[in-house]
Amino acid sequence: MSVLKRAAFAAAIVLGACQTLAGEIKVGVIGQFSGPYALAGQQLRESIDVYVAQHGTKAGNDDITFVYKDIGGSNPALAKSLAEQLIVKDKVSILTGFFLSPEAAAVAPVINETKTPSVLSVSSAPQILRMSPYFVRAGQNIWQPAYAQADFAADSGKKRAYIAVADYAPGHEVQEAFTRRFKEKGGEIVGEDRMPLSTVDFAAFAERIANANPDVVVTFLPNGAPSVSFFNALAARGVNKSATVIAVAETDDPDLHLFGPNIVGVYSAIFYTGSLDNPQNAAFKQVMKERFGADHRVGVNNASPYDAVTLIYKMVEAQGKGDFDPDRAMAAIKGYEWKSPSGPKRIDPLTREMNHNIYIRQVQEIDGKLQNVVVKTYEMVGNPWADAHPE
Amino acid sequence: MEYVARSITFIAIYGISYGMVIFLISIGLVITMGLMRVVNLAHGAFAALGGYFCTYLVTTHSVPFFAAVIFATAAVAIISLGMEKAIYTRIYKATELDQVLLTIGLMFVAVAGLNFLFGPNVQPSRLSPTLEANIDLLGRSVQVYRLFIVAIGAVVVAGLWFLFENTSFGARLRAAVDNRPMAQAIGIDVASLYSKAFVLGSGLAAFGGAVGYGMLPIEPLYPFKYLTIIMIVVALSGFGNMKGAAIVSVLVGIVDTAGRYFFPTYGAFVVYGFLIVYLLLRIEGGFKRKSA
Repeated sequence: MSVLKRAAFAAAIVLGACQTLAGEIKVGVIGQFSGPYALAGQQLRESIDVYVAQHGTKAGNDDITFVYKDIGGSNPALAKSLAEQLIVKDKVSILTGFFLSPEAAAVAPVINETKTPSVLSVSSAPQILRMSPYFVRAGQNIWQPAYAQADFAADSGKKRAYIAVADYAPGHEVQEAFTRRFKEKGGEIVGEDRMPLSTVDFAAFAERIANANPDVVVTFLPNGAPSVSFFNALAARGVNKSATVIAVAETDDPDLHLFGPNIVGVYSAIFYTGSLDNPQNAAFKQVMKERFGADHRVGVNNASPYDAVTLIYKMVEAQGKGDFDPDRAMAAIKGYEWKSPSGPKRIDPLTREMNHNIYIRQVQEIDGKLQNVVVKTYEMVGNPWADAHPE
Repeated sequence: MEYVARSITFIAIYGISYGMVIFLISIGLVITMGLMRVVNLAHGAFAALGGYFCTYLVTTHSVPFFAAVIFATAAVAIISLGMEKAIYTRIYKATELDQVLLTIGLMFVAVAGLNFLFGPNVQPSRLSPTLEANIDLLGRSVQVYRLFIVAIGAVVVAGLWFLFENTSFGARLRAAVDNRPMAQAIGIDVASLYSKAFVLGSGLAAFGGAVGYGMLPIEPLYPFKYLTIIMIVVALSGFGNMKGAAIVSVLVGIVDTAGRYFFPTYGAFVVYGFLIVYLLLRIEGGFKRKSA
């Protein structure tokens, strides 16, 4: 950015700040409301609606309004320009959304310059939080479930792992984290594949996995079409039966009906499942059902955006009279502990990473319906990535 | 040795079945492009629609799989007739740029429409228990569905071959592909031939989308996602060349499957390498049909 542009930008922001109505705080939401990830965008909006329905629009002295912008696919450059628009033109004080990590990375310079607290609702790349002191994570760091996958495999006495991940950044992270942890625990990696995102017929991968004869298969793929094809291929080759399969989000509750009965038995490691038994989750699901119908199933991409809104309300509540103070907002959430539908939550005050439970779930057929049942809980998982990559 | 044998049987069965699905969803475009010289980029939308109708009937109305396939094929064929009369007839004489603009626009409309009607998610891909079962073949277990696809593909290839080579419709079609003005001059009603070929092509695409949904999952981006592979088949087959399309599809299926099997991460590029080499060797567009 040239000096002139910078100056103009700064001036616009100062002017913008003066024009903001006292008592009203706007939150910019950059979401996937169309395109290939539109389901996640829909879930983001649902969760915001539910939180507002439960808690009203007021936090502390201020009214909160949400301004939605559609990014419609993987488009970091657009994310950056939407963030600029939201901050300069719409005068938002806080940003949220951020489904894919490259979007968040592209926005980092903007929020550093404008001091805009930004809550990552889903984005799980470990490096993002170091890109700006104004980022905070509401979802998981991808290393957390990957460590849980390795711990669970080792705890179940598995020794020979095959890693099959989609060939994109989060897949690579799962591969690195799982390998590190599983080897630490004395396991062996008998094969690993990075499967191109464009793959439609996964039979070749299922065949490779079957030939390597592992006792545990660890996967991470994007939800939806790729996961369905991949698990169908695994089942067709009998890998589900010959090995324990541990996924991350592939078998999420809203997607379960897409799979055939051969998905039964597959494990996954993640921070939420609809069957969690706590009052917050009961209330959350209740309002979801009232608003979106009895068949609505809450997914992980509902759970973390809901926690993102919790953090936003906390930030706003901490404001006194006068203008929005970003540093006060960030201070309010550092070390903040609360009970969410997905269990106890805590924001690590140093890294702004989410500390929370990672659940090992297994797909089981109960009363003729496929469900994710929690079989093990790894409590208050910290930040293994930061431990492995000191600053 | 055992490893080699296992690899070869795997690549043969899975490559051929994948190739057959590709053949079914592409053959319609090979025919219509040969006949009308229209690059219909929205062709994949007919396959997607067939798949949507079929999964919809199977999951929400518990219609048996085979009945659902037939119904979906018929429904899409009828819809495509309407589309041909309303939209496509207007662009047969237009420039290539206009054709590409219109058909790619139609594809985007189809993607948005499917998203609106059926939601952004992938559709459940349930098969009947018979198809889902595994049987032992050549010393390994193979899903019945794969063999079923190979059989269906073979039947369609044989049927089309008969239609093209041994019926008057086929003869008129071949005449129109080779030389349109002359075909018209000897009294062939090319306009009605266009409609019939278009409906046949769209119906076959819908059929491929429906029977192939166990392999290519049904989602709104379907028309877009499989456009590349459809275009590869079309480019390699040559205008209106049914036999060429069958051979090319199976080759592409085998090359793609083998590429992914031996080089998992970069295997997706193998098929493009194949495309380049093939085009360089057979610059005229592959299996040339003997012209009359």
